[in-house]
Parts: sequence; structure tokens; C-alpha cells
Amino acid sequence: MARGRVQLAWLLGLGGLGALFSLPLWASTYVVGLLQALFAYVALASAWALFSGLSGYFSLGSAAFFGVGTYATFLLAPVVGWIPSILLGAGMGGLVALGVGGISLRLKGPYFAILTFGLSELVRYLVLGYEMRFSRTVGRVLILPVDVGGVYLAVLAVAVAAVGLSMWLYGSRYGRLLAAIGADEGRLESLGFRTTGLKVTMFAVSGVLSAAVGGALAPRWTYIDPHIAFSPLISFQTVLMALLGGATRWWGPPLGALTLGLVSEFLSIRFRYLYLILLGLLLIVLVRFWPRGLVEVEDRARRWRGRRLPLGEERRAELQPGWSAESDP
Amino acid sequence: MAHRMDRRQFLRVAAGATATALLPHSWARAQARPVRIGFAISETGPLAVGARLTQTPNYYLWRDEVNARGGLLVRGEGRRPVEFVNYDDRSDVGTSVRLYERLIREDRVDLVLPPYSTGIIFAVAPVVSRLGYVLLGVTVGSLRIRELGAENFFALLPQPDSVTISIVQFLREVRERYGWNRVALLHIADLHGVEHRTAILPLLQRERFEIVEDRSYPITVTDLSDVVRALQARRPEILVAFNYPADGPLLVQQCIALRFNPRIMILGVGAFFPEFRQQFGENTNGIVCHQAAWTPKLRIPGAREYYEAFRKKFGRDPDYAGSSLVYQSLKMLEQAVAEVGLDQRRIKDYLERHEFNGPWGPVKFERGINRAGNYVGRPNRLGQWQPSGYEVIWPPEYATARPIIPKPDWK
Amino acid sequence: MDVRLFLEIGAGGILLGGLYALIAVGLNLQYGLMRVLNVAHGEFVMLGAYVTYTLYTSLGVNPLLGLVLQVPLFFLLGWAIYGVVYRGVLEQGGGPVQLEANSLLLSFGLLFILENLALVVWGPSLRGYQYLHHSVSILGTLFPTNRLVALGVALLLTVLLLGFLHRTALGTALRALMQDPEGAEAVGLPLVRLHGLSFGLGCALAGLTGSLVSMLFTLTPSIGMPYTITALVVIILGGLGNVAGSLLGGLLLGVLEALGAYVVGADMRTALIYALLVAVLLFRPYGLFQTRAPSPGQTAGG
Repeated sequence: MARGRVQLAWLLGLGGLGALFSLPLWASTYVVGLLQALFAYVALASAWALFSGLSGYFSLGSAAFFGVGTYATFLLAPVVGWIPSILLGAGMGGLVALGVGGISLRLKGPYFAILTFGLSELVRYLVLGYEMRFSRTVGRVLILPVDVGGVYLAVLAVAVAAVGLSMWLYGSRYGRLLAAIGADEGRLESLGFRTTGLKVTMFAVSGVLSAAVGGALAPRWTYIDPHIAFSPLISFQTVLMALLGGATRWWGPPLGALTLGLVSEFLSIRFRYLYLILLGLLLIVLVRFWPRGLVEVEDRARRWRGRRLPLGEERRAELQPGWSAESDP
Repeated sequence: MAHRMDRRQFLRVAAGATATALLPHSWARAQARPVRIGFAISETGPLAVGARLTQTPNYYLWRDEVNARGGLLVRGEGRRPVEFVNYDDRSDVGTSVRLYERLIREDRVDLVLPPYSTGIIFAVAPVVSRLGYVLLGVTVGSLRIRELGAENFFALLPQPDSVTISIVQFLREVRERYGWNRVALLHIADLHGVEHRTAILPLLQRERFEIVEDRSYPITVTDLSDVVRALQARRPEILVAFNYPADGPLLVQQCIALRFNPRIMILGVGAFFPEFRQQFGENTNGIVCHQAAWTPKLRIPGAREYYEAFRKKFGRDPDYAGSSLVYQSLKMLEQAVAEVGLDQRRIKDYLERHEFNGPWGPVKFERGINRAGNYVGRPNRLGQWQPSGYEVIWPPEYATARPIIPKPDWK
Repeated sequence: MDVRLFLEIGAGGILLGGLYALIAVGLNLQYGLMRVLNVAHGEFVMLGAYVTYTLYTSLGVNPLLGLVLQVPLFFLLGWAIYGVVYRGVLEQGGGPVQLEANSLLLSFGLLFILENLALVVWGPSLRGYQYLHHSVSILGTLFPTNRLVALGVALLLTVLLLGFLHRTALGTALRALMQDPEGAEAVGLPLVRLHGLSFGLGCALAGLTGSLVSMLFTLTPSIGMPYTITALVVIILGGLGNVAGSLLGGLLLGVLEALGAYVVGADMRTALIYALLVAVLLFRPYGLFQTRAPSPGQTAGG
């Protein structure tokens, strides 16, 4: 019975992936374009959660990696081609993350958040200073023969990688270790756990994926300058989506990205410039009634059906004391 | 109008008008399929301010005027009411591109109007162009437009090369009379500022002006008092700034406070807003503005009518630069559609072949960029705040008033 | 380098530093007491600026009088927002990580609402007026009168606030809470009322700074965010939860920013601020003026 269900889930998952990857063949340009935008945020939110979701280190620096990836593609795609430039950019994003992680992971809480924000802004203005002094211009233009379908596929590939990785991570030993870091890092260290390696690695993985999103989206921009590529709004929106979904489950951040993306699209088309006011109200109401994010939908559904948590889930919840109301020491 | 109506066209217009007039009004409306015109523009986010001041009001003004006349005249079809299909791009490049694809592929609009700001237009132009639609961009200023390879895209505002030529011509004339030679340059660190500064530097050097200071500041600047003190220390006679609406007032405030009063003060984007006058009152007198100056006093067909119509509809003045050009771009589309119908290729050919005029001024495209300025030997217009209001002072054939030189002391 | 010019530019920096300090003190009060990072703080500055602008240009109310009138108004606004928006969420518990996440989401919600409400009410136009815009000469150097007034108000208020925190019973309770939230609750301090008070005070300070901002700068609905960021930098310089530190940090930032821009070039001004922020976080995470974390709840190290 249980095995049958697992097989069914795999089958459904593969079918769904097939449908998504074949989307440009049968869906309209608008739908492909919309999903491309949504999956870009799914990828960013999942990549963010890979490190920040469980560990409680809230990074406000996604824009730095995203921008590095975007710039890498703008500079390298004419030389090596688009796909290789995404990979190279992702590598650079990883290197930047290693550097940033190496110096910033000593800090916790708001200090870490503000530091990552500061570093990402610093990168933006250093790139700007470089362009003005040495390139004698500010913006760069890139025309690639890639249509919306191509961009969609690249973004989807990154999103699948990010979501797949977090699916694995959240169920793994490393995920539990990250959650324990979020709960009480000091105690973990006093018990003899080495946490630095894991933290830096996950931060770098998150940087690789965020940069890949930037490179994958690049053909859509045509023109970039540091203010566009390193816009702090990218970081804010990523965190907003991940937290809205709830980072205690692997599927929280993607769900948050899809929800916020779709709601924004609907509200902005329907209500024009009132849409951000409505979105703000919605955020406040949601936080008030679903403090753990959209993932509460699961608990509620369970409670409604009067069923217990499955064994694995229960254990995982236990191991994330920072996230549940009962286990704060 | 530069493009005169010939007899055949006149008959067609007249026939269309008569046909509409003879039919009961509501019936005519119900029969004519609307012309659907699409655009996505920033109604929220950081770009909303500029978009809602300069651009969107003109879209609605034009639509209402056209519909009051019974609709848009389409060649071979008579008048059809205009209907807008529009979205908010949330000041986001990606969203804007997506929405233009939606407008063209899903909503299947007949025409598209441009979004606001250089960055967004740069991203949208190649996409719209590839989908075969014509885009008349106004609020875009960069010589790198050509790199886009967007062949259905047209840019209307005077570009950095013609703006800087007019500034240097004006300064040369001033120097002949007054002998002032010491120039300080200031620019905002983005595409707009950098391109203008890059364009003006060799021109000033060729004319042997002495450049005593050449500074830039970031787009996020919140205070310019240190910059003004540094400028002041070099005692320039002439100040040329390539600025934006938010930082221009910062500059003027500090110049007033620190009594830094160059003989000639030339500012950029934003100094032509009526709000600039409201904020600084008579202290604006003598300030020159280098961005495509316009006033209803210009002897250009339709200038006065446009001003009156705008005031009547919105209860405020349009800005004294690009606003009338946005409106003119719509009139140009209207004219093209009346002549060749709604086929994009034929609209494009029409726009390329003809010269247009009013209410902003002459427009003639050369490889997609409005070259009416240099093309016919007329540089970009400079304006100046004077006690009588905003006046065009350069070039002489457009001047509505003599320039006030030197700039009066701060009050 | 011209020494006199250098000094003049530095002195000009102090004038703005007062403003920075005032904004930061408000944010720091909220953070120190509630451990809530309010990213909508700058929006209250923006709102305050618009209210003063409107009072002055349409009713002729003197901006300095407007400033005084606004204090109770913004206090009540902040107090009400605390009661309606924050209180329930803070009382839900859920551990520090969830609290941090949710307070961030809440303040983003507030930010969206306030900024776009201003766009609806005041429209997109640039707004500004001239008030005390002439200069007075001090030792042969000109200083804008309105900036001197802004500095004076900022210093006066911060000193008053420090006096309140150190000399009154209520202030002492607030400080105890900042030092050690759990301990303060254990000895029976009325947490909810103190939180409401501090959030209200923070908003009142932001609104009041807005009045001063309207005298000095041009307004649009989107000016809020840069002030939030400046305030963040200042409270890091001065130390999270350290009110006196914010005053010094603000003045210091004003001077460093002006002089740095003069020496390195104004285009690198923003880069300079962030470099300073990063350096302080890395080398002196508890602020320039203290070497240890003030309480266990605020540890920066992991």
C-alpha cells in the first residue's frame, strides 16, 4: 500500500515535470512568460531556503548572486554562448558566496541579515564605480537569439534543481543539522559538532543556484545596469516569498513564490495601483493567522481529517525547535 | 502640418466624417469595432512618479479627444472608437516584457504604446519589434538605441548628441559677448548622465572652454551640499548639470543656501516641471534647462491648443518638455493609421517617409531616431525660467524671449 | 587639499548627521525593546514629511509648529499599529527565528501599504517648499538656517529622550527591557504597554524627522526606503539597542559621508557607506562604542 503510493507519487511527479518541460510546445506565450517569471522566483526562494530556511541565518543578499549571474551572461554569452555562460556565472556565484560566507557567517540574527544586505549593495556600487571609471558607460546591451520558450526551459531547469535539492536536504541528516543550528548553535558546538563547513557549503550552493537564475533570465533583459541586475528588491522579494510559504517544509518556499507571484499578477491587473496596498494587507492578515506560513495548510488539513502526523514528519518537526512554539528552551 | 493633406485624403476624411454624422450616434458606435490599443506602464514602484507625470495623462487626453470626434479614423474603415488595454508593469523590466507579449499575442491589440524610462524601453523594444509591432518611444535617451537592432522602434526625444551640441553652441555665443569661459560639469551616475557627459566633454574641449570641475554623484544621492561647496571653491562661471527630477532640487536648494550663483546655470531633467517653479518661485528665474524645451508660446501648430486641452482635463500644466511630445507621438500614429490603416509594416513605412510637426515640433526619423534637430540644421531647444514663465531661448529661430544673462542673484 | 574647504564640508556633514541620528534613535528604540526590525520605518518619515508639507502649503501652519502637532499624532498612529498589527503576532511566540521572520513580513506589509497610500493621496508629483532656506554665517562659513534648526531639534530631542530613559521610572523600565526582555517580564513589567509605548515613540520620532525632512528636501512617495537604510547603518555603527550610540553614530555618518564623498568622489559616496557598514559589522559587530554584546538576547556571534 505504502509502496504503491510512493510509486504513484513518482509517476505523478514525472508526469508533471514532463508537462512543464513541454509547456512551450502547447501553451500560449503569455502563460509561458508568466510561468517563467514564477519559476524564477521559485528557484530563488528554494535556493535561499537551502541555507537560510532551516539554519535561521536570514540572508538579504540574493541580489548579489543573481546580479553576478546576470553580468556573467551579458559579458560571456557573446564569446562562449548562452548555456555555457550560465554555468560559468553559476560558478562565479558560488565563489562569491564562498567569500561572503567565509567572512559573514560569524554573525547571527539581524547582524547577518544586515551584513548580507550591505555586502550585496556594496557589490552593486562597486560594479557601478568600475563601469563608470573603466568602461566609460553604465549599461550593457545584449541581444541573444533566445525566445521566451528557451528562457522558460532554462529557468525551469534551475527551479527543478533547486526544489529537488531542498527536497533531498530537508529529509537528510544535513537538513536536521541545519535545523539544529537554527535552534541552538552554541549547544551544537559544545556537543562537538563542526558546523562551519556545512554552513559555508550550503551558502555556496544557494549562491550557485541564484546566479544561475540570473544567467537564465538574462536574454529577457536586453539592457542591464548595476541598479537593475543587483536591485535589492530581488533579495526582498525572495525572502518575502520564502517566508510567506514557510521555510519549515521543502515545499513552503516554492508555494510562497507561486502564491505571491500569482496573487500579484491578479491584483495588479485587477486593481492597478491599489494592488500593493491590498498585498500589504494580505501579508499582515496572513502572518496574524498563519504564523508559520502557507505550510500550515498541511497541519490544518490533517487536523481537519483528524489524523496524526506520519512518523517521519513528526520527527522532523521535533528537530526544528526554532520553528515551533512548544520547544523553545 | 508639415504633412499636407492632399485632395484624395481630404475626400476620404470628409466621407468618413459625413458617414458618421449621418448615422444615429449610438448605432454608429455599436457597429464600429473598437481599435484596441495596448500598453503596460509603471503605475506603482519607483518609476510611477515620472510615468504618471509625463506620459500616461497624454494617453488618456488623446483617447478622449479621439473618441469625442467619433473615433479613430482607419483607412478604408471609417471611424472606430479607441479602447485601451493597459497594465501596470510595477516598474519591473521582466514584468513589462511579459505584458507586452501578452498584449500582442493574447489580447491581440491593434497598436501598442510605449512604457516609461530608458531601461524598460530598451528591454521591450526588441521584443515588440520582433513580434512585428511598431513602437514610438518618447522617454528614452541613449545613443545605444542602435545596438538594440529593433527595426520597428522609433525614438523621439533629442538624444545626448544633439542636446550637448545645443548647449555648447549657446555657451559659445555667450562667451563671445561676456567672455565667460570657466565651466563646471556635474552628472548623475547612470546611463543618461554618463552619455551626456561623454558627449559634451570633447565639444567643450574643441571650443577651448576651461573645465574647472567635472563631478558625478550616484542616483541614490540624498544631499549635495558637499558637492556644491566643492564646486563653489573652483569659482566656475558656468554650471552644466545632467540631473534627474529628484536631485535637481537638492542642487538648487544648496546653491541658494550657500549663495553659489554661477553666471549661467544649465540644468536637466525635472527643471522643466511646473512643480519646480512652485517649489522655488522667483529663484528659478534665469535657470536654463537643456531638455527639449517646450512652451505653449512656441509658434508651432497645435502648441497652444494642446496646452489648453491638457489644462482643462487635468487642472495643471503639462511639463515644459516631453509631455507634448508624448501627445505628438499619438497624433503621428493617428495620422499614419488614417493614411495607411492598421497594418504595422505600412505604419512603419509611413513613419519613416514623412516629416511631422506639432504640438512639440518637427520630427523626422533617420534610422529610427528623430533627427529633425540636426537633420535640418536645428539643434535641440533650450528653455529658461523667466518672470513671464518658461520661455524658449535657443536656438534663435524658436526663441519666445531673449535670454536673461547673467542669472539674477538668489532671493 | 584646501583645509578650510575640508572643514566646511565636514561641518556641513554634521548638520545632516543630526537628522540621521534622529531617524536611527526611533528605529533603535523599536528594535531594542521588541527585537523587531521595522523596515517600514522610513515610510513614517515620508508620511510625516507629507503631513507637514500639506499643513504648511494649504493651511499655512508653520513647519516647526507642524512638527510639534505631529508628535502626538504619530505616537497614536504607532501605538495603534502596534496594537492592531504587531501585538497579536508577538504574543504568538514561536521562537526567535519565527518572530524575526514574521516581524519582517509585517513591516514589509506596512511598507507597501504606506508608500502606496501616499501615492494615492498625494499623487506622484515632486513636492517641496522653501522655509528658512537662507544661510547664516558662522566664523565666515555659510550654513543653511533650516539645517541648523534641524540639527538643533535633533540634538535637543535625543538629549531629552536620553534623560527620560535614565532619569524617570518609566524610562528605567524601558531600559531594563532593552537589556534583558525575559528578565524584565519575570519581574513583572507590563510588557504589552511598554512595547506599545516604544513603538509609538519610534513612530513619533520618525514623523517628527519627516517634518524636518520636508523643510530640507523634495518629497515623493518613494523617499522612505533610503531613510530606513540610513537608519540601519547608523544603528549598526552605534550598536543595536544603544540609544546614545545612535546619536553619535548618526553624527559620525554625516561627517564621514560628506568628507568621503569629497575625497574619493561623490559617485562613490554610497559605496563608501556600505563599505563602512560591512567593516563595522565584521570588526566591531556591537557598534563602535561597545565591545561586548549588551545582553545575551543580542549576540552577534554564533
